[in-house]
Amino acid sequence: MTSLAAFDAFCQGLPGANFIVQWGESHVHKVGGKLFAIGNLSDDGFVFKTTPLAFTMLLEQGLAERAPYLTRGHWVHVAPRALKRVELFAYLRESHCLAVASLTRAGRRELGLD
Amino acid sequence: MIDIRPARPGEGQALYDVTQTAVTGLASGHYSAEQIANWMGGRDAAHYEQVIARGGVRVAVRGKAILGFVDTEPGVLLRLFVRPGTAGQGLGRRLLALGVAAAMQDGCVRLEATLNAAPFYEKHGFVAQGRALYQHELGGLPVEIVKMLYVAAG
Repeated sequence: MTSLAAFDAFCQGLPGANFIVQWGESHVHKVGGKLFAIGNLSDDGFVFKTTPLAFTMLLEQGLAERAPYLTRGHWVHVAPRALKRVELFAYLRESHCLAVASLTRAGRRELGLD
Repeated sequence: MIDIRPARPGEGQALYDVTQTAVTGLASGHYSAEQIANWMGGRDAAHYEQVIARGGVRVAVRGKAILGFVDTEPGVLLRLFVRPGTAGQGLGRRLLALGVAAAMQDGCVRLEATLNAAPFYEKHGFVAQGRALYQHELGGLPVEIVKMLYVAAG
C-alpha cells in the first residue's frame, strides 16, 4: 500500500511540481498550474490523469474507477491498495508528463521543462 | 491474481524463457522457421541479467511464475513479451499501459514491433511509421520490424 506521504513525496520530486491542500483535505499536485494528481487525507486513494490506453485497461481490469468530479478527459481514481507502488508511480509520472505536454511552450520554458 | 513488480537479479533465465517461448509461440506465420529457430542468437540468461541491472524491467507474476515483462528507457518501450498461454487475460495490455507510462517523454513513446505484434500496438494507439530490418547485437538472423510511435494528447 502506498501512503499519502509517499505519494506526496513522489509527486513533489517530479520536475516543476508544486503542492497545495485544497477542498478541505485534498493534497493537490500541479505543474505550471495544471493539475496532475490528488491524494486525500482520509486515505481513500489517489486521482490522476491517464492515456486512453491506460484508462480503458485500468477500468476494465477493475484496478480503477472514473474519478468523481473530473469527468472530462481520462481521470481515474485508484484505491490505496489497488496498484503496487511501481505501477502507481509510473502512472503519476505519466500524468505529470501529460500535464507538462498541455502547457504552452512559454509555460514549459518558464519551468525549465523545454 | 497478477502482480506487477520490478525484475530482480537472478531472474534472467525467466526473462529469456518468456522471450523465447513468446517468439516461438506467437511469431510463427510472420517469420521463417529459420529466423525463429535462430531468433535468440547469442542471448542467454546472463544477457538478461544485464538487462535487469539497467533497472527498467517490470515483470508480471502470478505466484512465483513470471508470465510476462516490459522493459523501458526514457522515450522508448524496448521489450514487451508475454507467455503464449496467457493470451486473453489482459496481461499484454496491462504491461503495455505500464510501459507507456514509464517510458513517456515529451508526450511520446517509440517502439519497434515484430510483425505479429504490430496490430496489437496499433489497436492501442501506436501509429506505424515504416518498416526496417533489425538484427540483435548478439546475433540471430535479421528480422523485419515496424517502427511505431505513440503520441499522447496533452
